Amino acid sequence: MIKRVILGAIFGVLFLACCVAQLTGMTDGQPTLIQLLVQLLSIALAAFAISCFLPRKNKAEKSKRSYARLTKRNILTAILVIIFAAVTVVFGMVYLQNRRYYLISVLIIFEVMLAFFAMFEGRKPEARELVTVSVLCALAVAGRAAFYMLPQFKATLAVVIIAGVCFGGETGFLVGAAAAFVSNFFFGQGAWTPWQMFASGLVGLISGLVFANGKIPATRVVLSVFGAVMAVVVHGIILNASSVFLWQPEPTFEMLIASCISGIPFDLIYGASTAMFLWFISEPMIEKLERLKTKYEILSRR
Amino acid sequence: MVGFRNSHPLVCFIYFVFVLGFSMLVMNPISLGISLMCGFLYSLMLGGKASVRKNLIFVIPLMFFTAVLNPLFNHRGVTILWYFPGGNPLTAESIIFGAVAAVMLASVIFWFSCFNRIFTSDKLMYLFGKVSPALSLILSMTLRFVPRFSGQIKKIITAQRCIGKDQRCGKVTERIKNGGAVLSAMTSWALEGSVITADSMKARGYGLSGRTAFSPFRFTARDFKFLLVIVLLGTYTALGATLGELRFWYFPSFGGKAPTGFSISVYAAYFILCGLPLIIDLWEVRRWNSLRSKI
Repeated sequence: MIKRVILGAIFGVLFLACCVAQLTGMTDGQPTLIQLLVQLLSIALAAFAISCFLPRKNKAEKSKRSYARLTKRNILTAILVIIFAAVTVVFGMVYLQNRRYYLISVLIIFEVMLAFFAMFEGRKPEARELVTVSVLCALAVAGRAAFYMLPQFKATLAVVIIAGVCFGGETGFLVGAAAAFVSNFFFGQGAWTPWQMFASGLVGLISGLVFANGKIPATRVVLSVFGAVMAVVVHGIILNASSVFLWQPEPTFEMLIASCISGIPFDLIYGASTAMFLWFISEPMIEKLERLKTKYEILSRR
Repeated sequence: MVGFRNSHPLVCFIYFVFVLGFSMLVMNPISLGISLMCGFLYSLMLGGKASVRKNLIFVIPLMFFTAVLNPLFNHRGVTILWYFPGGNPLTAESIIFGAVAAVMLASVIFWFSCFNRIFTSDKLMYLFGKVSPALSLILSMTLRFVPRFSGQIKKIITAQRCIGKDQRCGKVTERIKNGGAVLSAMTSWALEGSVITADSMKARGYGLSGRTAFSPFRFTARDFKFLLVIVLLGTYTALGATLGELRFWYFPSFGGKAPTGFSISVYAAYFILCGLPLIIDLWEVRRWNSLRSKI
């Protein structure tokens, strides 16, 4: 109870800080991208603060079943990430000039990924877990390398989504991020690497969260539709936005839209290929992974 | 002849952090020009003409796209050249700004092509292994598994072909089915094998305390000298940049800070920093040739 009140107070203070930052930054007539982002952030912070003060039932019994439940450590990490992100945004708005959009976005990406990696490292993973994760990563990388001559036609996201469905969001994020990083050893690292890692990691995380409690059945029709939507909306938009943030020092919404439009053909190919791979490989793959989980008790205790 | 590329990974990494950081964050036409020139020459030295040509094919359209996108959507600036049909002005400042952004893009891409030449996966694994051992193990195992799986899949295909069931036999539907069977066998083999690998790791004491890792990299006196020079030049440039000596502004009108003795010294430090690998390599080539027997 006391913990929740303290959390609520922290979020409330952050919300006020965001409001003050917005008011001081509101000298220009039209709102810039960063101001809109700060507004979104402050709404999220206010929501968090209110939800912390609301009374709630004891959910301990219910959460034992779902293996992707939020543990105490995960909540703490999420709070730390949000605080760091808010500090980054405020610092960037006040102190940086020319390239602040780029620096703020890339710093937030690094903070989020570091939190996930620290969570994984702090859990002291067992050897079986490590090897299984790297086998999944290797399959995802091979799914990109096998079709290198066809642009954007790759099975990476399909494998990442299956990893998220079977092993939960945390492992899904890890597989996505690691697969993007390793596949760039074969295709060339670049300034886009953090964005690719973040985008495919996020897809793994979302698929873990969506399919974790078993309410939505992970049949191949559902997974194909889900995969196509993820590839076009989440992965596509993040990577199109990354090219604007990377190479345009003064990004505007119109540039973002122009970049998204120019990327539509590639995103559609990626979405279609992800759906196709999920259609053909999802059911046998999930069967194999579930068998591995029950046979060797890998990653199933959570 | 050792060259800058064979220095300790930490030295190379800090060098690239400084150079890529300045190239991406300082929107100054002079410093970006320096960075582009040195990055281009160093990637020419490392990869030869073929790799530079491959990069140029990819860089030029991207540069063009960046340079055009900015004046189309950015209408700030006082020097109006023309009006778009929609009524928005085309300004000289936004064209300059787009061109500088395009130079930034090209320099970052050339420096990353050098980065890819120098940082082979083992060097990055070595650096990450110190920070995050579990994650680094995952990455290095993944790198090992990719060629191993492609070798195994060839074996499976050969075996299936003997019984007339590989992906090239039969009608289209049968081909897809056979291809799926190959992939399925491959996945099962990989997942079951992973458990054996993990048990073997555990049996050999993975995760116990007091274990060390082999490393082929040694931090020599030469590396220390390079690191010292890089850090000194880098911090001097960063100091100049934070004090506003490298400032350029584009809106409402284009201009830069008037050159002072300090700002010129900052540019010189940045120039030496960017050219450092070239200087080291060329000096070593000269030394090699001068020490060779003339008989």
